[in-house]
Amino acid sequence: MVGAAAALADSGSYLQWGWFSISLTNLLIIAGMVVVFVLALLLPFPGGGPAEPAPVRTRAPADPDGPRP
Amino acid sequence: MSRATVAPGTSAGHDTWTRALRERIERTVPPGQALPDRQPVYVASWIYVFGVATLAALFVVVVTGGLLALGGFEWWHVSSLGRFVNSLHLWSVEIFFAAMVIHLWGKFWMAAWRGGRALTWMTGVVAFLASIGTAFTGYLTQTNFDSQWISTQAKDGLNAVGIGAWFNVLNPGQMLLWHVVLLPFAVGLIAVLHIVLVRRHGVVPPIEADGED
Amino acid sequence: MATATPTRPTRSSRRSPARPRDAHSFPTRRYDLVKEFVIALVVVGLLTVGLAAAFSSPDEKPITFASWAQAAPEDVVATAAAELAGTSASATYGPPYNSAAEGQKLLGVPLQKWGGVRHPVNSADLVLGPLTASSSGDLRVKAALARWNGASDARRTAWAGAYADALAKAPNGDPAKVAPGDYGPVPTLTNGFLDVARTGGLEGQLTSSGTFYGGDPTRALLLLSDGAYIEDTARAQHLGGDQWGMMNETGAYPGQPWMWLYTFWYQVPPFSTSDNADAQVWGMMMLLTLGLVLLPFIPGLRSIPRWIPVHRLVWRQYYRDYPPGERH
Repeated sequence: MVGAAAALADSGSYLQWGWFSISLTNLLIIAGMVVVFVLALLLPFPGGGPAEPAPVRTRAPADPDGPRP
Repeated sequence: MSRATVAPGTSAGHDTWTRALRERIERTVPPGQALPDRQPVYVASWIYVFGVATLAALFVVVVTGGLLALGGFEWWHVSSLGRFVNSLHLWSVEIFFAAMVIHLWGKFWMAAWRGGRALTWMTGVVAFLASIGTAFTGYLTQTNFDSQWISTQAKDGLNAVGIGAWFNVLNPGQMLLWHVVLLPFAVGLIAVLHIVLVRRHGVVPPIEADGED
Repeated sequence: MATATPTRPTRSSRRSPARPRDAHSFPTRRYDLVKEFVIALVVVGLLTVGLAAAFSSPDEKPITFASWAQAAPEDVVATAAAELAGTSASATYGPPYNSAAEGQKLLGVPLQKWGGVRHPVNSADLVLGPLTASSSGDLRVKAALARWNGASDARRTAWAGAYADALAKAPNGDPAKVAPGDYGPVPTLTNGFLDVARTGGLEGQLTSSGTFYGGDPTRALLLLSDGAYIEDTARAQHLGGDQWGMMNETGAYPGQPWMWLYTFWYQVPPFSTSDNADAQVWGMMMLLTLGLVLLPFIPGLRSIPRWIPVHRLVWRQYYRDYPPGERH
């Protein structure tokens, strides 16, 4: 744990391609976000039980802006 | 008072501001729609959890910021406990932004502004911007090398468009008040508005299932 | 008992005679929002504690005037000479600090000038103020101040300008190796200023002189940023504006990756070579931000999610369970 904190307190590593530059830490964070995003799309989501048909509306839904003339 | 005999629900009952406000609130998010325990069948993806994750992270950001406030704004330089609380605040902010950006990516690819939900999208973007402003003022109030460098650099952009005249990034006292009062209030207010809009309109149906294609 | 589906018809569904389907007309499943929030809170809380315990947070000590004088005395002297000559960044800045320049313009509109001079700073006073306040024991500095104060503006500028130029030509900017010339009292003043900086009292002179609670270090920060030392220190940490520094943080800590687009513009022409870059980049970002806010109304951009069907992944279960024609 202390070692990890010391590693981040050292001067960072930077990657450079021409005029483009990014710190390794920022790159890892952005890559991590992309990975999480892709996993969120791909991993199956646990189901919430059986589907029920849409409830039958017995009255018109409330109109947020009141009746129209 | 003769008005007391007016039956509830009749239009004559609108004559108190209190009742008008109550009905406006009830119409905005009717009972049962604020916290439903069922969702349309298409709400079945991990991508949906990032909005709630952002909200949870915002909660942690506010709590850790409050803990940091207990000791004052230079406490964390001289106390190991203060430093740890500062670390909690920093990392919760990183998680908050990561969750919010993933939420934004998800909503973009779902074209979640369809079906009259443009205002929901717009309030979300404004919440993102207000959060960036809040984070920025946080950097300015650290009272360390970061604040020295970031404030002296950032002043030029803000001065160039005249904002620096009223929003002096070189004054950490002013920035601290923006950071702990004005901007968190703005972020909280927009977040509430955003969530109310989400609950009011419901989760956007799948593309091609909404009958608009 | 379960509540009804949490939705209401939207504006467009009321207007359109075809009534596009909205959330309320789909079959539903159980979904526990409160449980979802509580689990998210626990996960984010644990993640926060874990990351904070493992990585702590950056806290690079601020530069003090004493540490500046210690590490780069020649830079302190050169900065003091530039303040007296009126050639430093703050002396030539314009609004909101002074009227020395018009400031930047955005599409020809002088927004910086319109902001007004709301934080008046006289750059020469950044040097002369602390010297005057602390020179009571130093007769040479007192005499130099008297000579400076008795001279005309043109004379002062000539002395200080000549000395600033001579310093720039001296090996390593070393004040001891400056070629002889007519610098008047300026070398005595700038060396006296270096001595004040070394004592560690300069911050107080600049921020709380005349006011017990010195809460506004605007003048001290302007003086610090007129020198080269803070920028050299920042560039060594990859924090320079042309190093994508806006995204970066001291050490190897994560910075503000969400600033990538703002800092990107400073790296490319025409912004990277423009004198008006701050105003131009600001204007550009405002325009792009407005585009993001208004994305739902921008033809083309709003259709990207239909053209690149990432949504097929999000809703794959729905598309599989309810193929077209069987949707109800």
